[in-house]
Amino acid sequence: MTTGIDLCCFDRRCQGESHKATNKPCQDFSYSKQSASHTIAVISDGHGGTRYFRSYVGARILCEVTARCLSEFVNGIPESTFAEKPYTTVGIGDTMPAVLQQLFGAIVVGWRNAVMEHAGQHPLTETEQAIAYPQNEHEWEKTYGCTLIAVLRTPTYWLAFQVGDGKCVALQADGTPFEPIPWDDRCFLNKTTSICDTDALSRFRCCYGGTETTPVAIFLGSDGIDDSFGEEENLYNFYVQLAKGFVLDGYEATVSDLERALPVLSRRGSQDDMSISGIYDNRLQSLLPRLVQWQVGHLEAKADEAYSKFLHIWEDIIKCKFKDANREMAYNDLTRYNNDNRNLQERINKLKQEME
Amino acid sequence: MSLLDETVEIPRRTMTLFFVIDTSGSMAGSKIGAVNDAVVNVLPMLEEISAENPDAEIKVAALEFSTTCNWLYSEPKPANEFVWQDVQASALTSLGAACKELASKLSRSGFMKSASGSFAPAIILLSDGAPTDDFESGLATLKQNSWFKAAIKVAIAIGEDADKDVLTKFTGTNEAVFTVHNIDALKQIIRVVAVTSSQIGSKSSTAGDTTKQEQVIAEVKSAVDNIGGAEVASAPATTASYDDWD
Repeated sequence: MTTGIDLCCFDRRCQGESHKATNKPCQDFSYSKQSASHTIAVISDGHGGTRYFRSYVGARILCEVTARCLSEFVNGIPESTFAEKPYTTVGIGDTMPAVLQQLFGAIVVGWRNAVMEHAGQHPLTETEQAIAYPQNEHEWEKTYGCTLIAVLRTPTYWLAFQVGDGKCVALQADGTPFEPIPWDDRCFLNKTTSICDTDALSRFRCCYGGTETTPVAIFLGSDGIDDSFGEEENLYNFYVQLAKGFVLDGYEATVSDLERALPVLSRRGSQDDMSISGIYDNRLQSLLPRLVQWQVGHLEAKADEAYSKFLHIWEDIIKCKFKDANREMAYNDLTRYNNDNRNLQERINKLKQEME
Repeated sequence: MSLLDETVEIPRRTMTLFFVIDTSGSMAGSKIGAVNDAVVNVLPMLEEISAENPDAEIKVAALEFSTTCNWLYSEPKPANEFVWQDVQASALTSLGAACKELASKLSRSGFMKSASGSFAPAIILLSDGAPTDDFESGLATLKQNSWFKAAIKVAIAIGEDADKDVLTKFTGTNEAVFTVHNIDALKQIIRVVAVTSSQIGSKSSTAGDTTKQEQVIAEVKSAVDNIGGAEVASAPATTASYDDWD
């Protein structure tokens, strides 16, 4: 049981920088809700391509359907179902527990019924039909196509699942970030699986566990977020920073900061729409030193890499491996890596001051 | 504290342009000279595209292959930092080995750190002959690679002796193989292919349902119409298609 554990949930989204220019609606939707029996966070990212002109509607519908299905799921299964389970992952091709198979089936069917209803109320024009299903009229629901990431916490268990891209990042009890949901290799670069795929049910992957295994925080972000950070460690660092914000500045100030930060992140990063949601608990308060320590380690690894490159080039210069213009370029690289290292050391020192 | 303070790094997205260059003995002389000249001249253009592009930074990597394979730099370099080192031609055409070497770098442990924040690479293969090693085995390895599958792939057949079937297998379509018959055409086609691939490859949005490779092919085809001594390999041979490498 998680008696005495206070939970917080949040969600924010913003139109991407590239969509502002074309006045395209934000294709992402986010949702979070806390009730007496459970807490939910969901995001969905509409595909947004030419054929997917209703995907922003599909994303909203998917969040609503998922929230409803999760509520029914919590009320419909015995609390003991997952209560004592160890942390368990179910990837693509693994056998999904029947109770989860039913949940995901309900989400897929619920989404298809809801978009069908929407399409009935808002019939496609002839022009839209030509775009929507040039070959196969049974593919009309693809116009609503979108991805899904969701997390559920109850007093006795937690569950997170995903179809498509975007990243779920969680903080372990010691503050270490990790990705709890197995990846789907079909999601690569701009390709993603989708709730609108004919085999959508087989593309669900998930993780779950009893209370003892519950991460301190679980964050869900659309691909607009992770594309802004490149390497995973940079993405983890962002979520660690977000977690630090909740500890140092509190919920309201940090969610406001997040709302201001997302458009900036889109402009400086992926240019894409952004959505984030998450759940964290009050164990986070005691993790601040660990979070700062993780950031120090993250920067130290970068500093080590810069220093290693510096040394490598320096050795090659001493061995006269460069000639003419390349020697000049090698000296430029040397200066750059030295500056990188110095800047990183300054940032490390500032973080270490936070720990004092 | 601020969520996006100096602790949080937001790197630019990247698109890597790979030159895979045949430096076998048959390339010696004017052909390799033209390749060196063309790449040196196109680098500032790539630097300009990169600087003006809000979507992504363009990085350049170059692999030369003859009997062995050699990367000109140990990692992709931003276009403005890539100093071209003239390549020399000699010996055999180990394209199979080059495919395997390329596959090894199209990975997290190689040049591609993360799919997040990256665009699919563009790969330009230049060759004037036929492989002298086990090309099929090398290509089979490369075709398993997710980055290669997603890449924009274009080949430039330098002269009539280039094995266009091999280049077609590499790019996946004969529409992406362009044949050149003289030095000027070679220089122009390298510029057009490199610039077009970089412009299209480093953009977030795609036009309709066409792939980036299809967009590059369409634009290069259009340009080829105005380059004397250049043609799409899939087009019927014309009487004007003769080699002049003097």
